[in-house]
Amino acid sequence: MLETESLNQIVNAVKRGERSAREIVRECLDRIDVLDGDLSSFRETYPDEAIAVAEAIDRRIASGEDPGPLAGVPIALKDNIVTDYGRTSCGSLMLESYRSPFTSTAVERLQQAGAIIIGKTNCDEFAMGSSTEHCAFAITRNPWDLSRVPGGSSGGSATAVTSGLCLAALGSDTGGSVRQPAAFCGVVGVKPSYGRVSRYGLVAFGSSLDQIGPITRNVADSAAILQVIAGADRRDSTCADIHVADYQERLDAPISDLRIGVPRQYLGDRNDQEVNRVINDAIGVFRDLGAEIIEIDLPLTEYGVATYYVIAPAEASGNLARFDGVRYGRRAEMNRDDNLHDLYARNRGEGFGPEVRRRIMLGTFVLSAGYYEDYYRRALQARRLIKEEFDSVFEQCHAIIGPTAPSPAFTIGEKQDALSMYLCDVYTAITNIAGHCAISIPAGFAGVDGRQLPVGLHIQCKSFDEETMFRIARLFEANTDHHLQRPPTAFSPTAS
Amino acid sequence: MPEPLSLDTVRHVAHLARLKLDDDQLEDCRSQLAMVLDHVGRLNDLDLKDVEPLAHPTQLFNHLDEDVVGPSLSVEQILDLAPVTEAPYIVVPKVIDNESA
Repeated sequence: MLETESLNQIVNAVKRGERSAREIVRECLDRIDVLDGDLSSFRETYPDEAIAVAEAIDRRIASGEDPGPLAGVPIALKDNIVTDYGRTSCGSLMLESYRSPFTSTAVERLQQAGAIIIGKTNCDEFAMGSSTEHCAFAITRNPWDLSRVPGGSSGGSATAVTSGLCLAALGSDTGGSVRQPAAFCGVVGVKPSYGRVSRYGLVAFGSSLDQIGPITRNVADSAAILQVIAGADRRDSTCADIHVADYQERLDAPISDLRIGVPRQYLGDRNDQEVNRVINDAIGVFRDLGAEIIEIDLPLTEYGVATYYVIAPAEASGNLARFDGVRYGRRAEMNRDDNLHDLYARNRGEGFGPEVRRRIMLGTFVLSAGYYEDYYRRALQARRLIKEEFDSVFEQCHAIIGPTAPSPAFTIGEKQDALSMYLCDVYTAITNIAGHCAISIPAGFAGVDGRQLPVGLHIQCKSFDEETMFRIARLFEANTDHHLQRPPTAFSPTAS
Repeated sequence: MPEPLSLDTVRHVAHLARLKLDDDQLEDCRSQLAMVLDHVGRLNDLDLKDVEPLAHPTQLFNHLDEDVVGPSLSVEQILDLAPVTEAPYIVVPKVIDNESA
């Protein structure tokens, strides 16, 4: 029943002793065995560790203890979030057999809350991509149509949640890498405010942009996961010491005088027509529920991708400089006369895939002498304007809504050049530039070539107001049934 | 904006980035980066005079820890991670060449 159950149903059943954590983990592993051959969402699973943890939880419950708010919940991790067992490869040959000696803060908190780590999911190499095609080990497929991408870079996590191979997953979002795959797969994905969740143990991509966020099948499940992983951490000095509200307690409480902003730039010609239809219908749902819909203006939307694709590669080029093949990671075959520079260049040239190489090159270029002022400094100036533009809009409304991505899932191999892939991030990357929180929830379905493909509704709220974001998302969800739809691939006669 | 991206510039950037790339890979980077930089060129349309750069989205302040020794990795753990070792060292090519030695 894992493909339809909610987090609270599982936790309650486990705590009441109606179902054992062991049996839930076993069901997950069986479903992965049967279904993941077609989907390739998992990089690796941890059957022995997961069963052992589940049995420990069952024993604690039998002896009257409370194992925590996520007791028995099977969770998958994106392959760039480290654990002190198993491998963390970041979808890269560079780290193909890397084993971290420590565990990330977010995962430690999940474990302390009684969650069970099932395995690691495939992603674009070092989280750079919007399709999960740029993974060194596999191409993950969209559960709604196996010829299409699941989105990216947290595509494996989104696919696994959609297909009921786990109940929830963690992804990381630097420019949309949680929200866009959630939209393409018809599930919920959260990009918390910058500083809400510790980045300790998340392999760094863009240090002023990265956040770990949950992917789940409904809003309440995401709220429950974020509740556990959010909050200050002395091991990440950018993690904010700001109060974490009780997201679940008031999830269904109405918001008085709800005002929702729809930017005129979000529903134009750049979007697939079906996406515009679905989002207009979603706006209608809010209007029917009594929300005031106001048209707003975010002219800097047109500059988001340009700003992002200077800042993110610049930060990536610095962060990925650590992968030199000396202290850990892959070491290339060396020639007798090779010097240290040759060692670095050969390890990195062979260890990184094409998209990562491009981003390192782009980032190194915009930071190099003669170009820094024209590109990097200019992008940081644009970043201030973008942040100010959002700040002023958030004074007029509780949330900004629109599509998460301009199109539904595209076909594998469809986006051949880097720029066309980058333009998929038009609505999401700009959120990371400004730092506020956002969520993608199922908005409905687009008809494409005779198939129904999920469309994501993107709800952005001001920094550290995840509580309002969850309540608005929940309001929509409670009045629609899109989140209850499951792809045919989630149901296999042998897996149920 | 500066002149279009030349292959020589790309070669120089690859050197700075410590990436050994063959001619096809350099050309791939040149053509792909040229397209992206062309798009980035639209930042020239913005009036950025007197705008302070913003490196970070939130107001954050350093919080300092007490200067006390905490747990850290053992030498064995570190050597386990390294691809080529001669305990208790990590092996790398010679850094100082004979002439300067």
